[in-house]
Amino acid sequence: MRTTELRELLGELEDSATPEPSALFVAKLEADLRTMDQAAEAEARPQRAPRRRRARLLVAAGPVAAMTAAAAAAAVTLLPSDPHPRQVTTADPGVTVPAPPRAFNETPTSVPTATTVAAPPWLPPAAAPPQPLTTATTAAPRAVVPAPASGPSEQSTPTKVPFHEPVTTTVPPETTTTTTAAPQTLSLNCHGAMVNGSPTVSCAWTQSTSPSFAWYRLYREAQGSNRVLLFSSDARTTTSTADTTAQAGTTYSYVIEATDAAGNVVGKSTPVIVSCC
Amino acid sequence: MSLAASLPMLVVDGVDERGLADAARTSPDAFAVLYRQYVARVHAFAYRRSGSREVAEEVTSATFERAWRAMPAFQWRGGGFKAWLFAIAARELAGWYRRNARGNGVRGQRALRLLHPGDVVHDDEGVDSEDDMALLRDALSTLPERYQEAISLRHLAGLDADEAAAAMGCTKAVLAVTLHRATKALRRAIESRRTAS
Repeated sequence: MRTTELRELLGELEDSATPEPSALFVAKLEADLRTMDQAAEAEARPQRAPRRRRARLLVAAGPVAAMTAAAAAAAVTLLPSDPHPRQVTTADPGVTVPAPPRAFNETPTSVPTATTVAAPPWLPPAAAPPQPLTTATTAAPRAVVPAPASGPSEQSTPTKVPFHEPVTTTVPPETTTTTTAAPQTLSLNCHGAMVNGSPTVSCAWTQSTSPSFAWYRLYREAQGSNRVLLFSSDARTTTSTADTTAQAGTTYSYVIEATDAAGNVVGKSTPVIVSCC
Repeated sequence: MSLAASLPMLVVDGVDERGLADAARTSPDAFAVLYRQYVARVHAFAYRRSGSREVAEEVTSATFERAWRAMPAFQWRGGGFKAWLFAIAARELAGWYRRNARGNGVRGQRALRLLHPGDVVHDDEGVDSEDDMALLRDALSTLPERYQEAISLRHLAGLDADEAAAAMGCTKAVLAVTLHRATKALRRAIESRRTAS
């Protein structure tokens, strides 16, 4: 077999008739691609959510911990200087604090007892019965301090919460809401005219002032057909273009959009209807 | 500045393909425009190479799915989006032939035509021409994948030398040498099949 013969064969194959892909196949594949895009977005979403929750928890834990320490300190100052034998319990469970200090020469007991006093007036009344010390969880920021080992040396410092003491509490319900700014309104003007004998629609728009601007995208839509991306530019100062593919006698709708780098619309015009030409 | 003065530089051939490809890295809408522009050409390329509408559709689907996944990393180089896309298609075709080596012989393709008679687009030369084409495709599928890609891109996808070289990631000189060797190997493969039959 000669090389020329092979080239003829290849040329014949290249020139051979090929069927058009069916409209159903084209439409289905496009739908599949869009589904892939949505699935990718859905996969990306849960990865970001835990970070936000953790961040909120950390932010919320700061004031709660501070309030817990302050409430504990205030509660202990209400204690009588002379310790009451063993335990005092009021109707309101209030704040649980360490057992009162003992006299220096008093023999310490092996198991410290907890003392419950009335809650400070600035704390809301408790709605629930007393909770065990290890599982103290309240909706309101109520102070919970575990009972430390008692001893003479702790007499002057029973109110301090250890710096790294874990605080079990419930973060108040989230009240923050994410608000997205409405897209900026761009002004679009389009005019059809015959330029050098061919129908041309010239479009101009106002410059986007959005700080996250990344792209201009000009779309065209004719009646009964899909929207087509006609022009895109990443230059903020490019504010005009021309559609040289317009057909005479056809009515088009043009829209200009400004998007950020992620493709989110940050500016948009109202559709402009142009009858060409 | 008047609008008319801005006409020539902003729109080339109706759509600025480079801007479109850049936008398609993040925008499904922009990718959809490129898809509609190229889907018939990729399908025709796959059909010429395989001779089967089913294979053409399978390869076309795989090509655009792979292109969409790789789009965020797309960078405009010589040959542009077209060369990049057809390079993906050529690799998908070579991969398809590698996975389905058993059914690619002349007998396998005859069986495929009997099973799917509507797939075949008849030309004036009839069955002899179909057998020649089947023989050519069969021989092509036995070549190393790089040879398959070079011949497919240059002769079946309709890329010029610059675009085919860009698609293969080599210089035109290297492409010429690869094509020369690929053609020689293809000729030998066809001869051996004709002798065997």
